[in-house]
Amino acid sequence: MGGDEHRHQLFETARHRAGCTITDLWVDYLALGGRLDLFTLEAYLHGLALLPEAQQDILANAINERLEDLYQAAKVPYLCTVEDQDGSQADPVELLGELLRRGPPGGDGLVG
Amino acid sequence: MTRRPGPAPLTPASSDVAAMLTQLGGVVLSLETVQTTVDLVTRLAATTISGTAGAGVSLVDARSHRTTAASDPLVAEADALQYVLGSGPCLSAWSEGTSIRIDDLATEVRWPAWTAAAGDLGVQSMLSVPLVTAGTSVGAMKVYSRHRQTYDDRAEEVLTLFAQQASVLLANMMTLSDARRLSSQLSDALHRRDVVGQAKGVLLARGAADEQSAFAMLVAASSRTGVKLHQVAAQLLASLTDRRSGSRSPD
Repeated sequence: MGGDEHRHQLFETARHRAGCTITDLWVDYLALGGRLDLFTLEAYLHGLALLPEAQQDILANAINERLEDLYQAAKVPYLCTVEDQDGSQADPVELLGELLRRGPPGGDGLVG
Repeated sequence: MTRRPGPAPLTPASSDVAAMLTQLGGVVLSLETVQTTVDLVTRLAATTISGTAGAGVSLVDARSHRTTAASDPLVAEADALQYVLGSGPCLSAWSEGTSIRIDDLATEVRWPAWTAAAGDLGVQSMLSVPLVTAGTSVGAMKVYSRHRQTYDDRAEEVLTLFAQQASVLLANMMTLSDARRLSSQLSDALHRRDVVGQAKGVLLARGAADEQSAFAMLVAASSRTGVKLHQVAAQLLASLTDRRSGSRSPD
């Protein structure tokens, strides 16, 4: 059941930092393919239920995207920029092709 | 001597409230938003409590989102002062869940900073009652006057009765607004989930070991490029349809 027993606290801390309600987070998690209902999710965040690893990773992505939005919004824009300096020019579809060519996952290099 | 059975006789206070409730009841079904409800409640309070220069309602929902309305700029200014100073009679009415009346701001000793500033604006007396639903204070309603001793026990009674009914209406509007919000969020979520699901299927067909690995690939592509996961999924699907229409066009 993935990671240490206090992993749920990381989620709760991140959720508070992102300033979103459990319902908001659950909707995002659902959109990413999460399977568990709102009450199970709430129980997990409070340390009262366990979440399968796959579900934890979906939840992690939901909350990390929220944090990323917050972080991006807080950044001070540069006055002088060279085009696409943030690296976002990389094509995610090409990257997926590369990951597939690398063969059976579970090895290294999957999580960037 | 026994009283004749039937409805209790209307006191002046309850007849005032009855008139307000009739107006409230008529619009319950037609009102669209929390804001329009708050506006209406404010307007009714201002016109019903005699001697009032202006009325105001402040409401806070579960997301700490504040909705306010004021029937007069004087109210908006006097209220804003309370938030700036962090104290004032309406904030006390709200947090303590009790009604608060100031007959003369010049002699009032509580909230000295606010009474001095509001006095400069021209407020001389005021009355504030909490908006309470299911035991929780969700806001406060208040009336301000430009004269001293405008509000008596009866005014306090009327505003309290009115606040009780308005609280129910406002709480229902907030619940409805939450439900509408969730419903639209869920529609969006289901659409995105469909796209993510299809993308996982594509990755499985191309050799991903299992669903969890397919998701991990999407996470990797998303975090390395700064593109949101559901957008990565959408781009993957778009690349397939592009390729297909590209190969079809020479035919």
